[in-house]
Amino acid sequence: MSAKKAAKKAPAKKAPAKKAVKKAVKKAVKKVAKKTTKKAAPKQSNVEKLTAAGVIREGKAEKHNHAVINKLSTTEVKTLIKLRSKLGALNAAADDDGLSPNFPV
Amino acid sequence: MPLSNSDVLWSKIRLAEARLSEATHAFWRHPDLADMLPAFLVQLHRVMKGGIDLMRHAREKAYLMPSDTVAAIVGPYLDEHIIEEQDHDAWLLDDISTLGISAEEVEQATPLSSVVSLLGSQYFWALNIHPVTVFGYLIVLEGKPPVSAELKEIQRRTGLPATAFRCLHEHADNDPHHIADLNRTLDRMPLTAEQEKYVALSAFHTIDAVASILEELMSLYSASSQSALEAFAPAYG
Repeated sequence: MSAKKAAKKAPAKKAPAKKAVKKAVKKAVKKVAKKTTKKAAPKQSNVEKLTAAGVIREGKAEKHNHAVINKLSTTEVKTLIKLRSKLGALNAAADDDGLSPNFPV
Repeated sequence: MPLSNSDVLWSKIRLAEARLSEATHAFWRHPDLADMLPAFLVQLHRVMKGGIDLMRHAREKAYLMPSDTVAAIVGPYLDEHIIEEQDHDAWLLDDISTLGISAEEVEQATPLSSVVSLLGSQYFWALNIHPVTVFGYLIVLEGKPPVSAELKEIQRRTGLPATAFRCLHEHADNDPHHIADLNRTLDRMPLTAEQEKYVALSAFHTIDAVASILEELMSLYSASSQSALEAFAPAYG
């Protein structure tokens, strides 16, 4: 009797498994949807990224070589943004300051 | 016409220059520069001496890469540049002695953490990535040489003896020739995109570390209300 019961109960366990599969499918669909949305967003150029981060100062963009900048690797861009984040508002006097006796080797 | 390697590198350096300009402006215009300058020279001595050792290691690494066309240019260049720079730390030691700091005190000085970061990272890149990365370091430092007129103005403002500035004046005279040579040498190299990137990262780190050295000196000074010499105990040893 107990063996029969166990055999009858077995199919009932399939229901939660189906639910899990459905959930996983839903999640996957959502992920794909998210990825599609990200891809759809317009890609920023390096010049745009660096200008937004203050690395390229407004009104000073013409000082820079945009072709070189747009070929920078992601690591180079990230490093430049990190360096800029160490500075607050830039000191205008330091901009073209000739005082540069730094660390000659 | 494609840009030369040095043109590309300088275009990248220009993007990071603000980091160095801000720190150099704050340091060289500091009202208590006269108190901080001896410690600056002591740390500069660490960098000069460490720089020669770094170039020797990078050169050795380059000569261990006989089939590498870039390393074949790096090695001979460093041979010459080491000779050009080899006695400069001794000159600086003489200059520092005129400020009443003995050679022994300088030798025992604890390098600032930013000095260790400046040089230490170069060892990593030169030995683990490629010895050409040392060009990022050299081009930033040689490319921003002191200017004699500015040094005279700093000496007047600080009231320190002219003898303390002799080595810096030498660099003001010689570094413009060195940077032209460095640029020309870099331009002869068949750099890969990866090597070009690492030379730039080395330059960016050099800019950041030099700025950090100046900031560290200023914060050491402002953190202490004691006499200048005591305030710079970490920089003196």
